[in-house]
Amino acid sequence: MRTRPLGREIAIALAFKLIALIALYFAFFGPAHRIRLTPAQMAETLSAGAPR
Amino acid sequence: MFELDVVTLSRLQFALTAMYHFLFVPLTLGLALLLAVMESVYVMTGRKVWKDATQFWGTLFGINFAMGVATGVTMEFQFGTNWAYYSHYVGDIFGAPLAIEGLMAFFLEATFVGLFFFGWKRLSKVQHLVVTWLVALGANFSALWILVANAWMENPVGAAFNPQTMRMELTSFAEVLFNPVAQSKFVHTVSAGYVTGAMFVMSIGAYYMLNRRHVDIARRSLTVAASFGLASALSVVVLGDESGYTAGESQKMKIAAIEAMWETEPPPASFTLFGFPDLKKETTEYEIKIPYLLGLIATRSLDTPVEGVKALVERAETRIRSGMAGYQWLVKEGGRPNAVIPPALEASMRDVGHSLLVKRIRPDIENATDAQIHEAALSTIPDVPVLFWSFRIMVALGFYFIALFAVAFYLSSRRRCGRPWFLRMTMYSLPLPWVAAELGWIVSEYGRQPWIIDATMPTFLGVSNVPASNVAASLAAFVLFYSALAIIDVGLIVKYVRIGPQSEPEPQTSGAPVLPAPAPAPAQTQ
Repeated sequence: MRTRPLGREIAIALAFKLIALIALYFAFFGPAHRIRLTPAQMAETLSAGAPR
Repeated sequence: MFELDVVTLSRLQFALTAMYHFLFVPLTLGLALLLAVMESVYVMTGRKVWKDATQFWGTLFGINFAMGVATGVTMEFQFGTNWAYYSHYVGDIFGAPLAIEGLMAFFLEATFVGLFFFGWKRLSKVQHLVVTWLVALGANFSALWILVANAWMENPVGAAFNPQTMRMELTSFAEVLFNPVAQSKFVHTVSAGYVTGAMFVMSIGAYYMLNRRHVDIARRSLTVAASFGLASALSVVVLGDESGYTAGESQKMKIAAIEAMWETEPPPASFTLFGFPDLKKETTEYEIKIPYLLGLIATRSLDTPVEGVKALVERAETRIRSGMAGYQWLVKEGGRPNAVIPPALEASMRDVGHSLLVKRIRPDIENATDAQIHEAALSTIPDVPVLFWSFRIMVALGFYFIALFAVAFYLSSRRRCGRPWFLRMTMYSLPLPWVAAELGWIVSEYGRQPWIIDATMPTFLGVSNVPASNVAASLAAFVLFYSALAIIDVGLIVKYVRIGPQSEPEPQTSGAPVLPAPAPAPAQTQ
């Protein structure tokens, strides 16, 4: 009996964590925020000079 | 001495933050397991002194854990901010273990750490013990995933280059996970963490015993740490030997540099115990060698030669030339939707990484002269004196730990661990496991240079296309922020060590009166 409320609290904490993670993903890392990088750009970087 | 370009600054920033972060990681790994051991004794014996010990070391663990998390997060972001090309190039492979580690730490480790601290009164003894063991397991599993990612940079297995996307892609997650470099690195690293945890507990225990404070808990903690530390220190050496073997298989130049071995060592290869590497003469002066040992460490045989720096530079030169054709094909065809590597160029494509080393000297690498190709081949030699000495000091410390823990184990088993010379020696040994661990990382990561991914991508190509001033500014911010964190961390640890273990009264289950807990002894002042 003693563990039931604690189990609920843990479940709530985990749910909050999951929501926070999803929110962070959409706020900062989702497809809308990704830098478009084409294979041609990758090839161009490879053929360019070394960064200075 | 250094050219402070974006490459050097990005490397410096990562090195500083990684070395700083690794001040906290080994203690988390070791202390978590020691907490689990102490609490197990508490649950098995029911003696409250073990609960007090677990709670006291748990407080110090908590301070260290929080610092470890705060300093670890910034490292992962650096892959995006400072190493963008690297992240695009290998993100599909490298990102997977990092993501798993992040999720495990966020959901598993952090949750159980919370239960460890706040669950003493809400969980039964056994439930709390399970939580403590899960904290220890979670910390170790986090280390596993990070080291899987790190080891992949040294031995990039389970992946293939796709000329259509111009990126490396995962072909076998199992190969990445069971990479022999990752496995040996993991067990070696966590054992080093256990040594750090054991030394931490022993040193602070020795401090209390010297000052005749909290002697009951200090002696018990010291006894547990001595046996745990002895087993761990022996494991570090044995598993470090396995790390040496895997490096001998996949990173021959690193082994040659660690040994300052300029010429190929004929079988049975001997190990240089001591000497002075001379870069100009390409020799090692005043060498003291142990016959057969290097052959056994690097090749597990007595009839296999171990290649020296000069032979490996020659091989690098051959690979640079070999990769030129593949590079030229990539420049023309790479990134096209229908690009397929011609069978005739498959061998050359394996050496493109080596050809890219020439870019540091000239961008049009196909026009490189013999002298420039030779210069690029020479760049495959890591910093020999740094590796040579870092490795030897680390190994010497490893053997010192075995001796110290063996003495501690012997004395504590005979109930004689209160001898002042032993307690002083133990107390002053406190920083040494951190020194050994940092030197180990210098050997591992500085020894990987000039590669960010061994034989595949030079470090200088992995950086972001940002101005050097941006990296310099964030580096300065890190130095300031981390210095403040260091002051807070040391201040908190010292504060709680001075306060010492606190004894809470057990819940009263019989009719007997409960005595109040003794007040903490006042901090000693000069």
